[in-house]
Formats: sequence, C-alpha cells, structure tokens
Amino acid sequence: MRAQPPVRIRVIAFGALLFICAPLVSLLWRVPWSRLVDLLTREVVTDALLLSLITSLAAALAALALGVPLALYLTRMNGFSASLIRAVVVLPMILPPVVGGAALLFAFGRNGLVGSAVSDLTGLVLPYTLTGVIVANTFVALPFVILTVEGALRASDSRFELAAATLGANESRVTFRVVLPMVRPALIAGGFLGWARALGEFGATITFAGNIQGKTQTLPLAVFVALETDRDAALAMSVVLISVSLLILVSLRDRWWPVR
Amino acid sequence: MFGTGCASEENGIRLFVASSMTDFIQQIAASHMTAHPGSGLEINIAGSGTLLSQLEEGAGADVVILAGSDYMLRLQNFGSFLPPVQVASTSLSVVVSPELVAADISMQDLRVGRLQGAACVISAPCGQLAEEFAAATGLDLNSFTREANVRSVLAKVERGEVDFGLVYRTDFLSSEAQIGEISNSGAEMFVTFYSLAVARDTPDMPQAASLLDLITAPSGQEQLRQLGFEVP
Repeated sequence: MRAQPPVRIRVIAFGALLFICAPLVSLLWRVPWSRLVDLLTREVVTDALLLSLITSLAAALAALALGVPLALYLTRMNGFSASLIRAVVVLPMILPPVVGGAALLFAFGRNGLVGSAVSDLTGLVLPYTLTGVIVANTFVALPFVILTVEGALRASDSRFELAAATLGANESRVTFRVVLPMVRPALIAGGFLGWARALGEFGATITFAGNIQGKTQTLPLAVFVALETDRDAALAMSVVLISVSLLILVSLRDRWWPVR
Repeated sequence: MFGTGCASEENGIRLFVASSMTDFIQQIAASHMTAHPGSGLEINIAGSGTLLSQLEEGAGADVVILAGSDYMLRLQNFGSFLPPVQVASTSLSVVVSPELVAADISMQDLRVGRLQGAACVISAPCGQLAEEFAAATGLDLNSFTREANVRSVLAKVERGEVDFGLVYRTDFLSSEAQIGEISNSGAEMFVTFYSLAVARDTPDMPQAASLLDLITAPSGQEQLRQLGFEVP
C-alpha cells in the first residue's frame, strides 16, 4: 500500500495523461465512422492491410529468431563489453527510423556494401521488395525482443540452471528445457512488442523499401500518402493501427515492463 | 522548417515553397537578406500537396509558391491570399541512373517493366504530371516507388537505387550526378506552372512585396532561366 501523492502531483499526472490522450481522441473525433467499412475495403487499403500483416508478423518472428540467442548471450556477459553491445543493440530503438533506413540502404542497397555483392552473386535485390520491408521492420523490432527477453533472463533464478547442469543436462538441454521455458512470458511479450513496433514502422520502410502499392506500401505509408489525397481513408487506417496496437499492449497486461 | 539567420526574427516573412524550387529560393533568400539586413526569413520547403495540407490545418504563411495550377486554385479557395502571380514553369523529364546512361534506354525498355522506376506520390504536382504522362505513354505506374516529393525521386535516381525516375526538367539540369535523360519521351509536353501568392493579412506587406519583386524582376527571371525553368 502506497500513500496518495499530494494534490499538485496528481494534477500534473492528470495533465500528462491528457497530453497523451488529447491528440488520439481528437483523431478519433474526426473519423467518419459511418463510412468506415466502405473506406477500409478500398483496394489501396486492403493491399496495405494485408502487406502490413504479413511483413510485421514475419518481422516479429525474425526478431525472435535473431533476438533470443543474442539475449541469451548478453545475459552471460558483464562489464563494459556487455554495456557496449547493449547500447548498439538498443540503437535502432532510439535512432530516427529514417537514419536506420539510410543505414540499411548503405549496407543492403543495390550499391551497398553487402547488397552489391549479394546482387552480383545471386541477382537478389532487397530494396523495393516485400523482403526489404521485412528487413526494415526486423531492424526496428529487434531491440524490443532483446531487451524484454534479456530483462527476464536476468531476473530469473539461476539456481534452476545450476541444478539441471548438476543433474547432468548438457548445455542445449539446459537452454531449451529449463532457461527458455522459465522466461516464456517474456518471449511472448517480446514477440508481441516487436510485432507492434513493426506494424507502426514508417521511416526505415519508406527509405529502404520505397512506397509501391501492393508491394511495399504498408499501412503507415498508405496513411502518409492518403493524408494529402484522401483524408478520410487516412483516418480509417489510423483507427486500425491504433486499435491493433492498443489491443496488443492491453493484452500483454504490463508483462513487457517489470511492474510489480 | 528552417530560419535564415538574420538579426531579429520579429518582423519575419514566412515563405512556403514547393520543393522543386529549392535551389532557386536559396539564391533568392540570399539576395533578400542582403536587401533587408536584420529581417527574418523563415522558409518551409515541402511538396506542394504537403504545403497545402499544412496551410489547411492552420499553418501560417506570408508568401506561398506552389507548383501546379490546381494547387494554387485550392489555395485561392481559402480566400486569405491575394490573386496569384505566375513565376515560372517546367516540364517533366524521364531520367536514368548513372549506371544506365551508356545503355541507351528507350521508352519501350521502360514499358517492359524490368527496370525499377520512381515517381512522386499522386498528391504532389509532379506525381499528377507523372500520372498523365504514364496514361499517355502506357507506362505502368503501379510498379513505381512513389516518393513524397521530386527531390526524393531525383536522389534515388542519382544514387542508382532506382533505374529511372520521372522528375522535372529543372531537376535533371541542376543535378550534379551523371544521370541521363531519355530523349523523345514526349515528357516535355507535360508542364507544371509555378505561381506565387501573398497572404492578405501579412503583417509586413512591404517585405512580402519586395520578395515578390525579387522573383519577378529580370534578375530573378534570369536566375530561373539558368536553373532550367521557363519564364513567362
């Protein structure tokens, strides 16, 4: 049981809540609710919806596949090297996504360091493809997976691992049968958080994968274009993005953040 | 949005400019600062569609330069701007990336659809022009990446991230990269007109008027010509 904060703190707290809610409520206020279904069934919108769903889910899975091993590894590390790696890993979370997109372009673009070699060898080109969208989304979703899972791993009781090892379980058995099952909620939470982040990704996608309807134009990109041509459609798509994101965060019930 | 660093920002002019006029307006801004030392000139550069949206949502501007007559018409419908003055025009141009300059690309190669193209979003004047051009020449814009403004299309062609792009002739002429232009594309038939309008209630009408004079004076028109614009 905590004591109630003084009145002036409560007033500021209410102000903070209002500051976050006011723009969202104002947006919902302008949504043409009666035409919502009509707006959401337009081809531009359904294309973007489908594309967003595919790419964000793929990105969440890719982020899990890449992020969990790195989180396991980071948990074993301490000191400066761990801090340095963690800082680099968190960077895509804080960096303006457009910088991330530009960086991806310099790496995996047609004339990029890795991209030019890959396209010479295999003929594969990432920018302006669906795979390119997934790459951009994975890049921004990865930190959420790594931080969530690493946090849970560090908080978990290491005595179980010791006990399993003492009883003769080898490393992979300990990892897959003891360590990962203990942090299952964090794996789920990290995956969903990464999914939500990928769903909302804009800057890295438009910079790296372009804006091709039905191919790389995800919901946020379609909103961006529609804001100037068809505001009602932009609002309708915003409703979808807000509701899905909110649904994800509410269903996680704070599991993604260590709230006691 | 960036302010040009003059002494005081109090009696400033807020200038909204279509992004295809970036180079020109930087020259004009320099002349304006020389003529009006101590005044503030705040320049907001974006695609004409974006600028209109910003103005619709209540952004304040004293002088607005837009590409595309439709956009100026929509601005005039606000009722808060004086009648427009036409300042320049430019036509569409099909440009190819530095890697393809030697390849002697024709319009037929573009229609086949193996090359990656870029054009402006439909809400930008260059995007509308691109739609008209594509409809007339049988290009399939669906496979194009649609960029927020013409500068972004140009940058992608210059860096070779796309094979070709639909930009303005002025962008091709002012580009410092080794990009090429497809001849006989018919793109020169598709023209965008630039016009300027001054807000009725601008607090500093003399300064706004002098900015207009700078642009419409022979020296300003000559600068426009040098950048590849057609002048009235």
